[in-house]
Amino acid sequence: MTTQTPSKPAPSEPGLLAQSVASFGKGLIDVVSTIGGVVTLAFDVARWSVRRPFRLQNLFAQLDFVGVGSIFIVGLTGLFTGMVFALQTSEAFALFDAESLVGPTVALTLTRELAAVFSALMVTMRAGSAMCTELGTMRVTEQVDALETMAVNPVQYLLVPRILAGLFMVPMLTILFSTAGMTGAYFVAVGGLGISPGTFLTRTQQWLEPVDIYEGVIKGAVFGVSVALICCYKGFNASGGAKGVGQATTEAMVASALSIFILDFIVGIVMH
Amino acid sequence: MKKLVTPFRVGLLVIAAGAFFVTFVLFAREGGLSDSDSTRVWAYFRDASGLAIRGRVQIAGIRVGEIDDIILEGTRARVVLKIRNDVDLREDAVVTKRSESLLGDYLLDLNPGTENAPKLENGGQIRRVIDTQGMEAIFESLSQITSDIQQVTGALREVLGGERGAGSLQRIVENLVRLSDSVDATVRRNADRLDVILANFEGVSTDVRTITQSNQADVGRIVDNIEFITRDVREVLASVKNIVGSGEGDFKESVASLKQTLTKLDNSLANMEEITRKVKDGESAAGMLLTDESVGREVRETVRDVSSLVSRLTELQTEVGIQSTYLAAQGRSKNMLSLRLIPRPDKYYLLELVDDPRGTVTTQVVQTNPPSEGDPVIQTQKVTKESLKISAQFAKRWYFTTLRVGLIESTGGVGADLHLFEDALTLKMDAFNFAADELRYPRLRATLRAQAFDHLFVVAGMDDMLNAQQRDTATQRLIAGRDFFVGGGLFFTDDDLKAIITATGLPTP
Repeated sequence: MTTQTPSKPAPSEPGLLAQSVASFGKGLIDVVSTIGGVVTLAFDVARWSVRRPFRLQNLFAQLDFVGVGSIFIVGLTGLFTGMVFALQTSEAFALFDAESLVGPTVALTLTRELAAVFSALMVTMRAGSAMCTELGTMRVTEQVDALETMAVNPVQYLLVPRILAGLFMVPMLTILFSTAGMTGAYFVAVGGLGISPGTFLTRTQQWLEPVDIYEGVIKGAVFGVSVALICCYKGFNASGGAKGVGQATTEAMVASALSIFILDFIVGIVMH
Repeated sequence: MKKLVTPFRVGLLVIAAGAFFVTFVLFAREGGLSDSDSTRVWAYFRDASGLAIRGRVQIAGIRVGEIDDIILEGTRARVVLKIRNDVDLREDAVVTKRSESLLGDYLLDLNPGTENAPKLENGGQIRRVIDTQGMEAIFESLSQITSDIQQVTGALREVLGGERGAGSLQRIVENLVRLSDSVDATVRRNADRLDVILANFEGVSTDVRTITQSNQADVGRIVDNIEFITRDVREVLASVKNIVGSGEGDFKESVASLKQTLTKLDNSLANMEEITRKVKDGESAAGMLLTDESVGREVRETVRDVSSLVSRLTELQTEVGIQSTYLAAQGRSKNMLSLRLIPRPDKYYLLELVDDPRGTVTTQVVQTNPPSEGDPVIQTQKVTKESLKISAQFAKRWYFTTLRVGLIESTGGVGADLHLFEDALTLKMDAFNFAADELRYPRLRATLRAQAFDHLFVVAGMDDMLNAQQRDTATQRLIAGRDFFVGGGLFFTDDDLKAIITATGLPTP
């Protein structure tokens, strides 16, 4: 006598709504996890940055890579940004016979916002992607594990120089960006549009305050740390071989750009 | 070596960025005012819209400070200003809010006050604030203007809108089109003629312009004459209207009167015919005059003599003048009416009628017979009375000197005139009244006459220069002695009189 046990029914496919909710939930969890991971990494970096040994050679290498290596692209971007901004604003102000405000407008916009944002974006594109890719490759090729095996803390060895480079170099690139931008704006306004040099400089001096410059520098520092942390985090936690590295780099670029604009808004609110 | 390259590159970047940063900060700092370089004052504004922190504060367009803070206090805005220390602020300083541009930016014009007012200390209040109406007021005005325009367009829509208005407009447009077509066709048809006409017009206008430019004075006179003629014609027409009458009845009467006149004229012509017949036949004196040769010769000689006389008379120039002078010692005025007949430029006859407050002094001998026997008493009385005096002098001029002789103020006398500055100034000396009992010396009068305008002159001088003053005991009237006088007068020549008579007309009895 044989007995037959009834077979279990096959599980049904989740619906579209369920899939959407699941996808949204997964994305939300990823974002929150990334924020948490970045903040945790930030604390680790802060902790390891004050511990010996201080690897200055590594630090200078990253300063050179992030800062000096970005001078050309940042300077060029700043020059053309100032020029085009002067050109456009002068056309608008000419409608009200107020071309004298071109200088102050360009100066305030560059120093407060554009210089820091654009410099950070340039560093993200040029140095941040390289950081993420390099660290991701090291992770998937188990070079990071090898460091740990050699009792070298990878956070202190790999990440602290990169984060400090972002912290110090992006503000400097911000200042360079503002200088290049104002130079471009001056040549366009005075040389091209016929605005009096005295008017341009006097009105700029009248409206520009040191706090505007401080604001730009502070924003540059915040963006530099943020970009470096995100790129390092994404690269440091990459998995899945070459494809995973590429995906991590893409995610790092998107997250860095978003963080720049979000933090720009937050810092702007805090400083005003 | 390679170990040193990277820090060097980073160092260069740091130095460059640091230099730019310091430059930027210093550049921005110079735009503002530090606390040590400035005085902080404040003012209340009813409306602080458009004002911004770091906004300009200026004197005469020069930046002397900036707005440091804007604080709401109750319903007013307390605006704190940072003013440069070298600005001498006083308590009567005035701050005015003024629009800087159409963008709605405002600045503050500062009047630092007067030196007499106390100094405005740091933290003091500027109490005199002028809130200038800004763009809001302008926009309000523009809004009202827009409303007015809307009303006008609405009225136009009511007039021109609808079928009736549209029909009117259409008719107007059609008429305009027809008119323009007609004008166009006419012009095309007569283009050659128009060219000729325009050429003629051009020639005529050129001629007229040439004539008017070269004879401007003549044209002016012609215009004046036309004005006179039209006025005369108007007067003539008025007279004709008075004669003929304005109504139908008047006209009939005028025609009847004209008939009677024609009848009389007919009779007169008949009589004339009879007279001419008699003259022709040598009857009557007129006939003899025309037919007798000797009589005709005598008549011709008579006419020549009369013509000579008339010629001399027509060369005669006349000058009528009046003069009034105030006599200082007498306290009254002396008036004179003069007529100067000038047959030739170097001689003239002067007739004067003088109203002299000194009057004339006559001596009366009074004999009184007493009631008792004895010699009669004889008294001599001098009586002074006002009467008009007459002057009649003959004058002859040599170069700048004129000598006069004749009757001066009813007594014999002589005079001499010295003409200076082309007769603009004349010094006159008169000596007369040589035999008056009351005068120790003859009456000598010096007069300075200055020509003021064409017909106006002023005189000043001294009368009776040689004698001491004597007054009538009864009336205290000055009858002799020195007296200063000053006055003026008018004179007209016969040309002036002709012009006056032409303009005003002769009085009719």
